[in-house]
Amino acid sequence: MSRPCRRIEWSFSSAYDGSLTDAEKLTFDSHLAECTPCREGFAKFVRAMSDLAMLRPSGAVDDSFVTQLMGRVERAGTESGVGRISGVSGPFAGGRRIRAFVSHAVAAAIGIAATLAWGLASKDPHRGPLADVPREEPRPIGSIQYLPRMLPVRFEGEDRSFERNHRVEHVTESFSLRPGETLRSLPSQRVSISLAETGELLIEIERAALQDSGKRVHEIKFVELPSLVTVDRALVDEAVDELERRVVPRLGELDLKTSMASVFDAIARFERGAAPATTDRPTTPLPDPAPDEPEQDTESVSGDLTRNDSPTPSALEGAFEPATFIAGTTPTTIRREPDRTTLSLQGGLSTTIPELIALLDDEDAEIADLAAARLATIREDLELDPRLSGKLSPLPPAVEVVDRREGAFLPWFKNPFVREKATQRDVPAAERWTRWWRDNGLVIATGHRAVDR
Amino acid sequence: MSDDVEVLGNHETAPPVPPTRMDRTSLADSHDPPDDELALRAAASDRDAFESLVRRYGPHLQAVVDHHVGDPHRGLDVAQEIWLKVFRALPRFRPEGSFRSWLFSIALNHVRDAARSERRSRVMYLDEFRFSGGSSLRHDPRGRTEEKAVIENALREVSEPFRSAVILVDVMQLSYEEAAESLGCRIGTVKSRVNRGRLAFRDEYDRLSSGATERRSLRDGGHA
Repeated sequence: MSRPCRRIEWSFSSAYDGSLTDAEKLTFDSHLAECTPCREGFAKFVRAMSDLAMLRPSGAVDDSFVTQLMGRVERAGTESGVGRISGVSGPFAGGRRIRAFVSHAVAAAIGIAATLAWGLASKDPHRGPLADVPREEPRPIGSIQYLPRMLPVRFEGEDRSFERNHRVEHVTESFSLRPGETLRSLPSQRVSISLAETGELLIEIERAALQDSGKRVHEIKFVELPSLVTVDRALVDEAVDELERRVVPRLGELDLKTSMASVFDAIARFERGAAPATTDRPTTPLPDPAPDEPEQDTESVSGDLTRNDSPTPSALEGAFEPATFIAGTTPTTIRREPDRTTLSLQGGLSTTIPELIALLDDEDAEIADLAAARLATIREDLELDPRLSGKLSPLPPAVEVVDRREGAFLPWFKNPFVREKATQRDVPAAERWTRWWRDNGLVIATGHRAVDR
Repeated sequence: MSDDVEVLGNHETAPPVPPTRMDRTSLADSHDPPDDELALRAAASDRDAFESLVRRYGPHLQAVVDHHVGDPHRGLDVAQEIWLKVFRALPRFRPEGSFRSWLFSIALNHVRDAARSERRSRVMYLDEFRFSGGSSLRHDPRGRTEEKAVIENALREVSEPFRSAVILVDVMQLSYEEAAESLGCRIGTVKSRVNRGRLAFRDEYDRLSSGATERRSLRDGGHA
């Protein structure tokens, strides 16, 4: 079809608006009557404008959006002292609703939330020291966008720097964020984001002295994704929220974490299953962990599957399955190599044990056996060693186990470095765990997947 | 393209009558407080007044954002950032002007800055999946249909500043005066931009729709 006449086409918009003068309209209509391209072109123009009307906004704004926004507005007003919002009820009137919110990335928030949830849900008379402390609502500090296949992460968010210096105990953790995942921090935390020369993203989150002061340095490592998919973090959070509402009032904090671990594990399993059929993997292997990387700080259980025929380097190409990260309360890494599989967890017993329990039902028997083996070891540690009873004071599992000098993980009560850092205010969670274990009649034997409860 | 795509070009040949442009300066119903009253009350720290403005113009502001920001999840964050800016700027709002013009002015400045920042970053947006037992359905929090997606994509192909002008006038239904106020230019300039933007949209829409029709024909057993 020929294009409309340029001069007439330029009048389409005015004709559509009805803003042509009488004389102009007469000229326009007369031309359209005689010129097919212009007539058809104008009809197409009007149809396009009519279809464009489909983009007009409709419906109501989402309530959750408004709630979140008003919360931010309230905080903005509080911080600046200008335009402080006043209201007659709800969060603006003071005192926020305590709400457990689990974030994969913020270990400090996890520690605080875990302690709070423990104090609220446990029947133990020895409640956590933070049981009555109102919780802070985590707020997003930015989102991580992933580039697939070993490419650096680009962070988009708000950079904030430390405002004061703390005497801190540096603990380096490593974990991976899924694409589109949002880092969240508590208002009491100070966040600093920087990009290392190696291209890794360094996020330092310093928490305030609610329980103890400390700083976490998160190193975002390169991660090869099993497939070009993202986890819709909002959906994950919805699932977590639903579990909180259903599980916490009935079963308590431990089972809540177990359930959440199952949720995230399901995500990980799905992503493994969604891996593309074609093995379009990079020829270069993943970089080995640097000597000071926190791989050594994690509680690691390795299943030795030594094979008689060691694969040649060419055979290794593509044989290495990418590490699967479970976006649980703490990072759980399952790394499969041609000759072994490694299960690594980070965190104290309060988070490690539920993760391991969740893995007992893993469809992969190898993983389940590793989890069972580790749980059996923990059981022995807790119960146990009669040589230790009465001689060592219990230590809180919330204290990170770091012993770079020995380069290996030690049970916390055997680690003089950890014991040195413990404070008397901390709740002896080991006793609580032992009591819980016995009360629930857990029987875990190495090599068995079933758990008797 | 899905089977739901409408095959364009099957309309009657009689020239359709252009719709009458609504000349409204506010979305408030007759029994609701007018925009400038709510804005003044919100500037005086009235939480309910500010929330009313958010609910009244939330979908519109979100639509403006979405037309400029590719990622729907980021679009929600951007919309919140804009509302925060609006909240902080409320003491400077003058009731002689149109609130929604003022609102869209803030929004457009913000999304332009965000778009510039986006272009500088090396970010690739990956597909999304829905955590519901392995479904790989595309999850778009805006709930777009494929048809609307074609329209949006065509609009996105229109270059600035013409696209913003079309969005304000034809999507948000601002008057030319209000659009000029939002864009910070003369009415004649706005009309010129709208004109060029509309023609550009028509061309892009025609192109994208033709491609969709051809693919649909091929899928239905047509020849390449």
